[in-house]
Amino acid sequence: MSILICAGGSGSRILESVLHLCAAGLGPDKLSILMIDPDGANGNGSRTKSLVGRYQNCRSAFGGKIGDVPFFRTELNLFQTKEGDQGLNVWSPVPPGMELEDIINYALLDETNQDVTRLLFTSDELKMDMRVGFLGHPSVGAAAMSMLPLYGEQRPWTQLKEEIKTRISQQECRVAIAGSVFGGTGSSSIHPLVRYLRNLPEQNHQRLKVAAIALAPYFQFKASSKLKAQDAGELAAKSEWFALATRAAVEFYDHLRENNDWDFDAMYWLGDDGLMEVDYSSGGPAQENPAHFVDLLAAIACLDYFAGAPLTGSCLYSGPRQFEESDEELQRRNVLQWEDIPLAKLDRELVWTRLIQFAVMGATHLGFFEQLLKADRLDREPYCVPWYLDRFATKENWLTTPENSRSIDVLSEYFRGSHFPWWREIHQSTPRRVRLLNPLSFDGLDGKSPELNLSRLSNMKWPETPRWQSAEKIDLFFTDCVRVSRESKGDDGVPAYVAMLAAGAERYLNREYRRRKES
Amino acid sequence: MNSVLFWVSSFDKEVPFENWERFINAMGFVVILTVVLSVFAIAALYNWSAFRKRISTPGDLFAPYTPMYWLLLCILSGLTAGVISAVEYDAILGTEGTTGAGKFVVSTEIFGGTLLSVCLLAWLCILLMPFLTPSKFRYRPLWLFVKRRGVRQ
Repeated sequence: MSILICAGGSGSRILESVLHLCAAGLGPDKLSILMIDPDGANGNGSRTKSLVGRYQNCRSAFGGKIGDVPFFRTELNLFQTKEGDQGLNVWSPVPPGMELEDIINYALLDETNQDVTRLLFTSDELKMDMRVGFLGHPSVGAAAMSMLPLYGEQRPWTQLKEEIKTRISQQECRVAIAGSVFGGTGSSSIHPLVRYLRNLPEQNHQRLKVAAIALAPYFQFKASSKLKAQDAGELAAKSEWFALATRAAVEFYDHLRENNDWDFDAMYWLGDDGLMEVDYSSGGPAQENPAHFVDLLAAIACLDYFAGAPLTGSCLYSGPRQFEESDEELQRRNVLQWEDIPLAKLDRELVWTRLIQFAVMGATHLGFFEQLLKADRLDREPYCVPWYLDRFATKENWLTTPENSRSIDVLSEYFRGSHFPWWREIHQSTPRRVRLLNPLSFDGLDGKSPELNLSRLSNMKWPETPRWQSAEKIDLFFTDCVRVSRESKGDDGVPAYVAMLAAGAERYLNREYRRRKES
Repeated sequence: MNSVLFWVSSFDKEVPFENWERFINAMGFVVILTVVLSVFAIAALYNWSAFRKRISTPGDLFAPYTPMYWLLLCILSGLTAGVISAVEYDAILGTEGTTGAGKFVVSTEIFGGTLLSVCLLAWLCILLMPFLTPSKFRYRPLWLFVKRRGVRQ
């Protein structure tokens, strides 16, 4: 059992990346998720909620029914803030309508304590509207989060406690807390959470492992939107503070280590020196930053940790590889290639092959098979499509029934509405620095570009290489599907279709990517 | 050898039996050679064009299966055998006891027999040698047998 606690907007984006990696088969068998954000309506949170919905729809359509195919294998357990709630719930440390002075009962404090409070917080902070988060004020957030033990008997904390207790009575339980250390919610949540978690087990304490995924600054507000930030008032988050806030956080954690007050089994530090420029937003639906490769690296760190990365209680970070390279271009720019992804437990080959296999499967589904499954002639002339006749039509298990069509739409929606746009953002957020997939291969697949082009099916991995491209690639993939269709596993209907696509993609990958690499 | 063309009857009843036997033997050899070469050629051309045929859109899967058009080469095979038959009819049987009608009937029979044999044998070849057909078109040569299979009513 693995538990992921995501705090704030950055935590939400890390969760988005974690879900995409889980969809590609890199996640644990079961993952429990808790989201913490006082600004539950922020754009990134809504996007992640929608992704969770899509992921769950795919799971219910074919998850666990596709044989040994690892895609969508991870079962999600979403902690609920209220009984009967569905989907991804976001827990807020700030009850609706409350200000900081309400939370800490400022009015009821004696005079000395009020003086101390005024020493720590400005009067604006005491009256801050926290419906849109802590606005980059970790001191305010930390005060709110310090009340965490008071919520121990409420959802979702009762569920979390129960789950950890059950798990550690049998074996190890790994919990990861993900968030930024330069903003408000993430930086104020990590330490109170680890403290709280450490006090939960009554026995088998050593079986509870807690890691933090701490993000250092990797974006800043556009100069044009800084005025907007100024207009938002003194309390608004300002990217000029990010470095200072990070330094304060690092010094705080260093202080914990030096004073033997270190509760972490691992702490992953991630960031980027080239800051992506984003529009300022004071929270709410407008706060929707694009996915960034730091989110992806943070998600991989989470999954590497869940996969059983060795724990030494230390901080983990990885510098850019460019300093070890003789390549001049790499020395000039800090680029991210597959070899740069820091991994301790997960196999590097497995990571890239699963992601490419999944992307190939998604591309062929959106670019070819989705249309084929809507063709009127498919059910009238099934002999024209050998795998369809063999696995579906002869068993009177047509993929064109309304129920099966809905399940296929769920898969299309996931790839078109979430997966490919996410990859595109990761590659576009820092142009030409991310060298993982070939972003040109997404043309038309993300529902944003007008053209759909499968000629790059063998060139979905960076770099763009014209000699690996050909209009005949879908023909090869279709042939692969026919060859594997009889042996591929999966229950009848859509699960069998997904299993066949996955097996076809694996065969295609072995020939078009792996052998090419070897040669 | 005459057993191959045992079904060809002499329209001209006055042709000497020995001459007729000689003609039938010679034509039997020609027909076998034509059939063998044609079947081989059709199978080879079918295989070549089937493997050259590409799928790039879903519509391509339902498009006419053009490699099967090579079976139409059987007409050429039939014509070849028929023309040779007409030429040999005069050369072997001479003019004694033969008529134009007899030559036409025999040549037509040989044309038809060769055409059907080539067509049938080439098709059987394609059906019985699966390696001639790319797996993506596995059932296309069999359409006559599978066209109703799995059809949604």
